[in-house]
Amino acid sequence: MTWFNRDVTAEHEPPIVAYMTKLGGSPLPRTARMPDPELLWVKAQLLRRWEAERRVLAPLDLMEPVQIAAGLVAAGVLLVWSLPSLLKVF
Amino acid sequence: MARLDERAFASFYERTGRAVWLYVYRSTGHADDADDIVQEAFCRLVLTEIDAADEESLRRYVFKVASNLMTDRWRRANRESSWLERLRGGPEPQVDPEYDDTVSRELALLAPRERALLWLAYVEGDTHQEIADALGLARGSVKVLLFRARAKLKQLLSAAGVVARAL
Repeated sequence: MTWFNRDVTAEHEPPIVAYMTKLGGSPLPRTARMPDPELLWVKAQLLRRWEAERRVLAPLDLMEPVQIAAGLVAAGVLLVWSLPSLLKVF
Repeated sequence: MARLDERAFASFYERTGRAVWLYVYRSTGHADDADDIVQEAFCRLVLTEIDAADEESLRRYVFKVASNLMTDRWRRANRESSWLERLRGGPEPQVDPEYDDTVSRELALLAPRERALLWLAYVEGDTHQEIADALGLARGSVKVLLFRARAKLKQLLSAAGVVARAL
């Protein structure tokens, strides 16, 4: 750890190292809930699948408003086209 | 490039999980955050394209993701706490009561980024460049920030009598 000795005097280094080493070696607290690696692996696979599904469905989501707009335009054209016939009937 | 399979992942998690958990816990001061961030970081490791044979790269990747996730939470917490401070007229406590025990009392008094810096430097033994990569800082900034954090911790340890006892 000599690369730390820039401005602080060297005699303060051992207590800091000792303190941090003690902390690093301290046990996990009771509240720690580290999941099993199998669980994490399954979770990651699910996330991967969802991401793949999202990527596949993205163009469909994008096309939905286009489809609605096209439908509305078609309905409008049909209405305009059939309006003279409708007026004759009524 | 070797891909990470389930067995290799489990083995790497067994070796590294505890260290990442302690890093996040000592930096954030919240066990719940450590649980969430460790899960997220290791899940992202599975999803990323990385050479599974290079253990050091895997370790650096997990620590970097964990650091990024911590930074996101600090930013969010700062935004929320500034609103709470304005509403209530006082600062919010930042650390779990259990965290501020006799072992880590001095570290808890430092800012989260200072704790992360010190942890990576002293416990993980990372170089300035590795710390800079993990925390998204410039190498020069790491030197300065680490020096300040160290001086601050030294002061706190002296005040608590830890330095005097150790010498």
